[in-house]
Parts: sequence; structure tokens; C-alpha cells
Amino acid sequence: MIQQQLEENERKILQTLSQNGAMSPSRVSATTWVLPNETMSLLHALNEAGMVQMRQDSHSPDGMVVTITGQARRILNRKQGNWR
Amino acid sequence: MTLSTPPYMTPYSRTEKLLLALAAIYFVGLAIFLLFPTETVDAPAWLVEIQSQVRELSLKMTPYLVVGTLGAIVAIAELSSTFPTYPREALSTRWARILILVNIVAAILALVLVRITMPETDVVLQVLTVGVGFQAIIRTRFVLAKPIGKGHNGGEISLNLGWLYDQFQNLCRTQIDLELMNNRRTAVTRLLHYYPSLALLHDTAWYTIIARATLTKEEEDERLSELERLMDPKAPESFARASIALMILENGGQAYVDLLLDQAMNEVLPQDMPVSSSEEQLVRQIMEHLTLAEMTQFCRHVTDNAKICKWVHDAAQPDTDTNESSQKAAIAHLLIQQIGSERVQQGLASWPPPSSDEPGDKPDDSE
Repeated sequence: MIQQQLEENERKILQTLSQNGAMSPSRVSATTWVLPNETMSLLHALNEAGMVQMRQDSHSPDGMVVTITGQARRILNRKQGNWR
Repeated sequence: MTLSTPPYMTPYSRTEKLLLALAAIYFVGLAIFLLFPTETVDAPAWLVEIQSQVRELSLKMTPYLVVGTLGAIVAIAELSSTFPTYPREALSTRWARILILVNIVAAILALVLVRITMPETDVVLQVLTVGVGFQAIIRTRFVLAKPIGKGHNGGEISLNLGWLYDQFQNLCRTQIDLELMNNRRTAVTRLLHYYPSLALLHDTAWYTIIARATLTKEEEDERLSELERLMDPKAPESFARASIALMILENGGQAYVDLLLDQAMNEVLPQDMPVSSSEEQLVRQIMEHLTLAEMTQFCRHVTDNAKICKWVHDAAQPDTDTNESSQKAAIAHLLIQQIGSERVQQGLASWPPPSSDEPGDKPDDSE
């Protein structure tokens, strides 16, 4: 089960994206207090797992934008109670 | 600054405005005149006589008014179902007005013909025949003979009474579509101008879809999936931005886009927007003015909070796997979020600090 394999920081990132919408990776990092290098590696892992989408955005200060996918949102909504 | 004239509206010409005003005055005046009780007041005989004549004329005109109204309703219903995404905008176009007018005139002419050819028929029956029957007949194709068996699609013998109307309807539909396309392009361009970042566009589109009250759960999911597909990194950025802007327009309608543009022009973005343009500007300023190595010192310059400065110090460590601009942007965002834009701006204005502001006076880096 994907959701059970999520680490604390991965869950934190997904919840932030779910609550705030599309964000730049740097803003994700600042909002979650996860260091930028760790944020990037976690985002890449989540992207591989189909939980987030990362793409270029020339209007973002760091040139990227990240969004949560519907799949991840459904998992979050379903399992939110278990995590609390 | 506000949007004075919605761009999708085909502006009424001066003649049209004058005619509309005259028609309104005429109908209001007529209604007052017809309802005024001249019999009970001491009105001149000629006025009573004219009123009775006008009343009689109005009664004669009522059937034409009814069939004309029915024709207009049918035309409006047709246009609304042809352009379900933009019904209001479609009805505002010049060719839509022409189509409605033609329907009204055709229905009135049909009633004139019926009344001339069948004068003895009851007037209610005439109105129903024309008001409903005529509208159906001009849109009907009678199949007189059809080949037996399946697979014979072209061998029918039919009588298409509505052929001429079909051609005219197609012409109107094409012209309306072309007119709407120009307006759509204008709206998308303006949206892209005021909502330049993909993050803003994405969130606006997402909110627009989930805020629609008439969408079923399946429709909502389908549109959200479409939005997700548009964010696919394989698609070029300009294509993604334009497609998402068009999605906002198609889901929210022109009036909603005008509201968004109005808010953006007045810098009244919805509260749930992820980040205001001013915050992003400040992030860029910090990134331009400070090097990664200066970030820790800048943090100490704007705050005494050890936790924040410890995070900034850790985040500013050189890392080959992470882009330097990502590190700088993350630090800038954290400072703005935790300390506030105003204080960060003040700190930036007084940067570099005076020489007395030595690192030794501040908490240790290794903390």
C-alpha cells in the first residue's frame, strides 16, 4: 500500500500541497520546514510514484511548479484519520 | 481600474439603442393608455373612442405577439443548446440577434398566411398551429421511402421542409462561433497576462471546477483529470498555460473571467490563492540581491529567532544535488512566511548591515 510507505516528510509535503494547491518546490520546502535538498529528493520520489506532478514554470522564482495528483489526494482523504 | 465593457458583448449600435429605447417607451405608454380608465373619469369623447380602437387593435395584434414570442423562445433555446458552454455570450452576438429576429418574422408571416388562407379557423387554434406546428415543420425532414435492411445510408427519399432554415442556421452557427472564438482568444490572452504563473492558473482552474454547482461527481473528476493531464511536464509550458486559461474560461464562463481580471487589475486576489505576486516579487528581490553564503547573515540581520536562522544556515549549505536558486528561493519564502514581508523588505533596504554588525555578535553558525 503506497500510503503506508509514506514517510513523515512525504506526508507533510502532500498535505501541504493538498491544502495550498500548486506551489514551487522552494515554497513547499519553506512551508514544511523540510530542507531544500531533501524536499527536492522527496518530490522526485513522489513524482515517480505518481503522487505529485512537477513541471517547469518560468514564472516561478525557482523555475518549477509542483501539484498534487488526484490519486494522492484520494489517498490523503481516505487515510487522513489513520495518520492523526 | 475596472473592466467597463465586457469584451464578449457585441456592443449595440446607436440605432439599435435608439430603437430599443423607443420600443420600451412605446410599450410602456401603450400599456398605460390601455389600462387608463377613461370611462370613469371625465375624459373627452375622442380619447375614449381612440382608446377603444387601440384596445381593439391590441387584441388583433396579440396573436402575432404570441407567435413571435414563441419563435424567439425556440431560437433562444436552439442557441443555448448549440453553445452550452457560452450561452450568454452566444446570445449576445450579432448573428444570434439575426437568427432570433428571423424566427420572429417567419412565425408572424406564417400566422398572416394562416389567417388569410383559413379565416374561419379559431384564432387560438391558429396561434397554436403556427406557434408550435410551424416551428416544428421548418425543422423537420420527412422520410417518404427508405431502403430495406441495414447499411443503406444514402438511399432514402425524403422531403426536407427545413432545408433552407438548416442552411441559414448553419451560417448563423458558424458566424457566432467565429465571433466567440475572437472573444475567447482575447479572454485567454488577458488571463495569461494577469495570471502568468502556472501555479496561479492551476489553482484558479481547480477552484473553478470544484465550485461549479451543476457538475456531477463524474464530470468534476473528469475535468480535474483533464487539468492534471495539462500539467504533464511533457507538454510545452506555453501550451499548458494557454490550455489551462481556456479551461478556466470554459468552466467559469466569460463573466467569471471578467471578475478574475477585474480582481487581478485591482490586486484583490482571492484569499485562497497560493501566493500573491508581491510575495514572489520579494522572493526574486532577495534572490537577486543576496548570495547563498549571505543568507545566514541576512537572517540574523532581520530576526533573532534561532530556530529560523538554524534552518536558513542548514538550507544554505552548498549542495551539488540541489539547484542554488531553489535553495535561495526556499530561504526567501521561509523568511517571508515566518518574519513577514514588511520586515524582510526593511532588512533588504538596510542591507548590507553596518560594520558593527559582525557575525561574532550574533548566535553561532554551528548552533
